[in-house]
Amino acid sequence: MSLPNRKREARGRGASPASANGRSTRLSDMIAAWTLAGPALFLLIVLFFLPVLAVFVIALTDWQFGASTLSFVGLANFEEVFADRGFRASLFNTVAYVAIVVPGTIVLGLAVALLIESGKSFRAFYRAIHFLPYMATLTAMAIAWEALLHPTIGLVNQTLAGLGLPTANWLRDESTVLPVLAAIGIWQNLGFAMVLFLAGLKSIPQDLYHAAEVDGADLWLDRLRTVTLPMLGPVFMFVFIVVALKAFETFDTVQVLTQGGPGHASEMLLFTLYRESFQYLRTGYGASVAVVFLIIVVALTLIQARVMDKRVHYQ
Amino acid sequence: MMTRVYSPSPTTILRHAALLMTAALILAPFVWMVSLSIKPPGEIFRASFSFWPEQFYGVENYTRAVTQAPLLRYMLNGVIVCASILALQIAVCAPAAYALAKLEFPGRNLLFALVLIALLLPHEVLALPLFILGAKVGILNTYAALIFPYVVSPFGIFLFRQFFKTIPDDVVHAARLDGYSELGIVWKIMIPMALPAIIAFGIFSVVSHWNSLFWPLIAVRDQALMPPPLGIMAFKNEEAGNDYGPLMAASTLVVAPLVIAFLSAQRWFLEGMAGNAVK
Amino acid sequence: MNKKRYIATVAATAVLSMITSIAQGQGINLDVITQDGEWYQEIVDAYEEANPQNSVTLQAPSENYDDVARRAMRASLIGDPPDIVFMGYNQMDIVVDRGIAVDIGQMMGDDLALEGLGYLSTTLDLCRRNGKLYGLPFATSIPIVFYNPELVAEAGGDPNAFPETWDGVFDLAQRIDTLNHQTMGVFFRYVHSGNWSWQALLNSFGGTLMAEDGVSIAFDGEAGRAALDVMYRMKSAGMIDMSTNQARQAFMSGTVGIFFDSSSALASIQAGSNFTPRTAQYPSPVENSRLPGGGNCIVMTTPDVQRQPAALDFMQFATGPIGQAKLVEMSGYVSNNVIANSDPAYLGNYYRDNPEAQTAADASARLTSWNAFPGENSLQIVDVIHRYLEAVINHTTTPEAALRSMVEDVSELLPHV
Repeated sequence: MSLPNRKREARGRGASPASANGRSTRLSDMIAAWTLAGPALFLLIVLFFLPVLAVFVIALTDWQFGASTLSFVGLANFEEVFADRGFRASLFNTVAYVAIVVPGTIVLGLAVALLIESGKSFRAFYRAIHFLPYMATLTAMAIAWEALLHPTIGLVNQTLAGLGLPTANWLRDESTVLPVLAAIGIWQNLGFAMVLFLAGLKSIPQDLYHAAEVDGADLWLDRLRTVTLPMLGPVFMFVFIVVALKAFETFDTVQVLTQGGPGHASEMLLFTLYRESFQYLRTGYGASVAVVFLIIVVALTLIQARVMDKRVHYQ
Repeated sequence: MMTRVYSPSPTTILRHAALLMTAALILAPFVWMVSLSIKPPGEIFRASFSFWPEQFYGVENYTRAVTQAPLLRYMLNGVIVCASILALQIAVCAPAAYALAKLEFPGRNLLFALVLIALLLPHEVLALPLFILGAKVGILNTYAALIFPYVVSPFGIFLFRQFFKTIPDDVVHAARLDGYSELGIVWKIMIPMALPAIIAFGIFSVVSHWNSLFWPLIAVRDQALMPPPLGIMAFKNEEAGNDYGPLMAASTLVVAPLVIAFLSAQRWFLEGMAGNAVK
Repeated sequence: MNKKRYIATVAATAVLSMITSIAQGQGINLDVITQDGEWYQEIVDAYEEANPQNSVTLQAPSENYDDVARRAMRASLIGDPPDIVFMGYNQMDIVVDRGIAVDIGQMMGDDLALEGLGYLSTTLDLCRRNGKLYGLPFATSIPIVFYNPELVAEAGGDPNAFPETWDGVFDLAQRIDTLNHQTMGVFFRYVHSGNWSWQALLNSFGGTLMAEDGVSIAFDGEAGRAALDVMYRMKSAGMIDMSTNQARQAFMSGTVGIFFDSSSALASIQAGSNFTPRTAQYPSPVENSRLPGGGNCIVMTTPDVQRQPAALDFMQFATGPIGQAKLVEMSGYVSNNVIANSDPAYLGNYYRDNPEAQTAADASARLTSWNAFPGENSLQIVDVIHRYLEAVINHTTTPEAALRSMVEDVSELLPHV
């Protein structure tokens, strides 16, 4: 018997959802839904969308932070953004960074989660250790990494030299700085992915595994393929989107470790935005960078969500 | 669940080997951090690395970490703010996630799209308008200022929605037949069944607000309200040089409660849930 | 004294002290923005002890001068400015131009009065803009050279006679660099708020950022070229580019011979090194060799005339002998107060016991103001110049090409007349 049938049986004999409770479903569902979601919607508007609207408006001005006057300049800021070499470098770097961090974090996070759950001993210990980078305050960690990656007296180079491997000036070399930041990003975030996958793994009903075993899937790899990975579908979609977002919006590590240097080699979009708005005090221009940034991110995310939601297997 | 007689197999050994390897790589910066927190200034930067100092300076460093800036007060603030934020987030996000996951209503897809869009709005972009909003409402420089921007969490709504979707519809219908109100379903059925996700969210929420400094530095100026990382920043000085010993000691102290919280929480949500879900 | 007179005197005294305490703003709590630094709280505590009628509350500290400026501006944006701000010298323009800083010239009195309180004209200039006094100089740091006497001796140099010319410095650096593979001959810290150390080189060769008229660029001449040439020579003498933290770490671990940094780092470098670091001044290659003073002014930002006397009181205390003594003892900053420096009751003995700190104090004679570029793009100009400095240090461009591009880019960003 194929697995999907088994699942339906495990759910119990259910009639189709629409008529199960005999009330006027649509209206009461609607009222219930808006009551339940009302507060959240209101807060989303006030705390997210109105501020974003304000940013859009500021993007059309030349406001300097602290100045008492401003004037509307239409799309002039946007023209400047697209012409700016620094912005394009920033965009390219961000995409490259995301391309490294997202697969790295997800694969490692999932692998570690599976490894931990595949046995019974020391699980708490391993979980805590792998989650530790996510829990540590970034400033302290950045100082630690900066010292470890020190070109002459750092532990990384000393170890590599001891093993006869080539060393590098990791944070000051244009060709290594972005991969190094990506590695630190993976180091930081794999705990995050791991915890989500752990939660997802724990939510998989055990009877599915029993059913699979009865069906002849008793190798670890088979169980993975037929039960675990499909059931992790919704979680996987979530982790992918959120990790991609976090990677796209990386700011802290750049600010603390490299400030976008050397040159523009490690500059990333959110850092560019921050620098224009908060450091250069060119709030109007900074806001237009924000708008372009948001448009890109919205497009990417909605596409992702669309594609994955269709393929993900829900019950 | 079937029990097995435990016997060390090649798989077990492989598992530990792999995990210990990743653990070692992960822990490297922390080992260095703790090592620095027990060293005197003269030993911190040597041409070669050794974990244990010649002169044990741990007491001095940790004492300074706690006394120079009011670190314990900052940690208390962390507890107050994180707990308040989490409670409000669950109260606001769980019902909305349930509606998105289990109810049919016009505008559902639009609402979900709004949640996704809100999810990708980074705080650095929203900070200035939120600052002005806070000023107008008059809550700047209070605990409320630290809490209000986070009361609704698109991340929370999204996460809960994904997990609520894995709960079979029939459970919901059965509950309705049993006379539960929709809100009752949220609290009595959905949340308990998605507890792993709820607790995972709790962990993320607490960790991110415990460690966040960006917004507090904008919204609050009273030392008595600041969060834990400020106790670490007190030892950072671009011009006069960082004071590494107490800085690392403060970092260790700031991450310690999170580790303890994580260990207790994960035992609760990851261990006790064997044989969960469908009944 | 007869009874009537006695009563009158007592009454007059009572009334007078009431008026004085009202004038002093009894019970005023001052709201202050500072950077990180343990000395701020110490000074506040000392002030409150000596002046129990007022109190001072330090806001949560900022990490650097830029952040202090932003906070001051945000606060005035919502109409709630602090009373006092410790502003970086080169950022004075920001608060002055936006009308946030209060002109304290009248309140402080004339030059004679200022001198009597121990202020030097040169340091007061650091807080003057457009001829008006907007703050009192609090902490000053000087660009300075740290060196490792052991490495110097090993390379055949004299630890007690550090070279006074650039050629001498580079010669020594090259010899130190060849001692072993881990040793770096020299490191020039060029990452600074406002590119301070580049300005130091420029000023030390007699140049300035802008011309007298404040409109045209003046760093494109001989002095500007000489400054970039010096930076270019660093790499051949052994410099490996790294962050300030990393460079300090390397120096403290004993693997760097000569280290160009700020005098404010003296205390922490001394504490963290397992050898005794020595200090020396930047070479003076020309007659009019100057150095820009780094550090911050105490600026009054409250427009409320009731609060201003109390604010001024605290400002004078912090920049007076007691405040300055505390500052110097707890950091590497130089005291700006002549009284503090000479009187043994305050710092008179400190410099005798800490000869390395004397270098920075001596260099005060060469002080000139630390300026920023004019106009609303001044902060952006800093970053633009920084990229060129980085290229010169790393030999990805020549000093000539860098200077030309710098002039081009900066001209574009300056206000167009």
